[in-house]
Amino acid sequence: MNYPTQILPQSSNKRITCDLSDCYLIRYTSTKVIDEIIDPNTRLVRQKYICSPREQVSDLSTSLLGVFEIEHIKIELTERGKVTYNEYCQPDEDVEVPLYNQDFILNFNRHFWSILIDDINNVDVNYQKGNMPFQAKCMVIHTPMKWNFWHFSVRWRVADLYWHELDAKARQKLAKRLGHEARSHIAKFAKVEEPNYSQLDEKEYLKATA
Amino acid sequence: MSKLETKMESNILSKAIMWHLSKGVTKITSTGPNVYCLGENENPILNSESFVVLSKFNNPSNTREISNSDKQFVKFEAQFENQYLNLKDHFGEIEFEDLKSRFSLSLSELLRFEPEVFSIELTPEASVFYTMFKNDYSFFIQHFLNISDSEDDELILTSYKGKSKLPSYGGSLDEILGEIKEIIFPPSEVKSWEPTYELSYADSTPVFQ
Repeated sequence: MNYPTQILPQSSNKRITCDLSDCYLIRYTSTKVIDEIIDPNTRLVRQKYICSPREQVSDLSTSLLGVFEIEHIKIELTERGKVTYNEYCQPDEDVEVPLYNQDFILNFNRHFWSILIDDINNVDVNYQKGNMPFQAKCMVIHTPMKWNFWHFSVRWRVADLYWHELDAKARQKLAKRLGHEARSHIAKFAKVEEPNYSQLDEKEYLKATA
Repeated sequence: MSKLETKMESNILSKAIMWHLSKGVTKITSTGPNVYCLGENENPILNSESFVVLSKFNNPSNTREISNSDKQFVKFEAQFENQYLNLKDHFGEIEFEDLKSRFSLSLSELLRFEPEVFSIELTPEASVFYTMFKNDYSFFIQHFLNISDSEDDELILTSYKGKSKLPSYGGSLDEILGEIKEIIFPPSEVKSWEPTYELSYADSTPVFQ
């Protein structure tokens, strides 16, 4: 089984900064049973499949659908693979191709949810009343990783800083509210059906050639 | 229409009900199998025992409404207990009965709004995440069950009208309920009375006893 090299960072790649409003983010779920993923009353994605307990929902990992295809959600890094590949990197970093059964396996017990970037990017959060009034903005940021050039993070901007850049005390103070906002917004707009998506124009992720 | 007066039985109601009746309009409410009606000239005073019972209305049609609400309550309590088994490591040292009583309070208060759709889910943040649809509104309420710091948000509310996001709010249970009530029942549309306790409402022909 060969790793899909088209999803790896490559020397010809650049960071994606264009308008992605019509594009979709995708994230895997830890089950492929759709009736388990969707709450039967609300028909929304259940909270447990929005984010796992190990991760921080206020800095959520996703992938951009396009060159990264739905089948790629089955890729699961092994413990050895995480050591090497589960790190942020530059978009044009040279990365060795992960090896099947050593660095990664295929997990067929996965499904996904997807969300239109326009539904989540630049969403304003406004706490006007009560204690600790503040405002924040949800932002979808290209954060390539060694295993996946198409890795995007759903983050929160508070004043001039991202939430994860705040000092520990401020981060802790806002974590609950921003985590709640992420959960609510994704629950509201995420879908488990395959969206109608297309690949990004190459000029948006490849460096200009001389 | 004859004037009627009602006495609020303190052993039934733990909170007072503020009523304000428009002249000539009879508003009826019920708790359990009994329906009470307030007279025209009464301006109920919170926690007052100055009312005198003149009549009680038998309103069997309310029984089914109450029963559905009770059934929902029981259903969601059972879901809470089941989900807790999978996530109890995230809830710290707080006793299960304490967690359950906090949950039961917010659950019962939210069910009062008679939502069209309702669900609960426990999260690793030691919280219960409620989803509630009412009219064209979606409400997402997260109740953190392990709060010890009074300055911390006990609950957080996010709401949408259709797809449009409304301002969010963090605070106590009473504050969150107030915000939800303001959204569902905007002040400009409040009629002559405003319920503040769990009651269902129906018009019925009084049967004097």
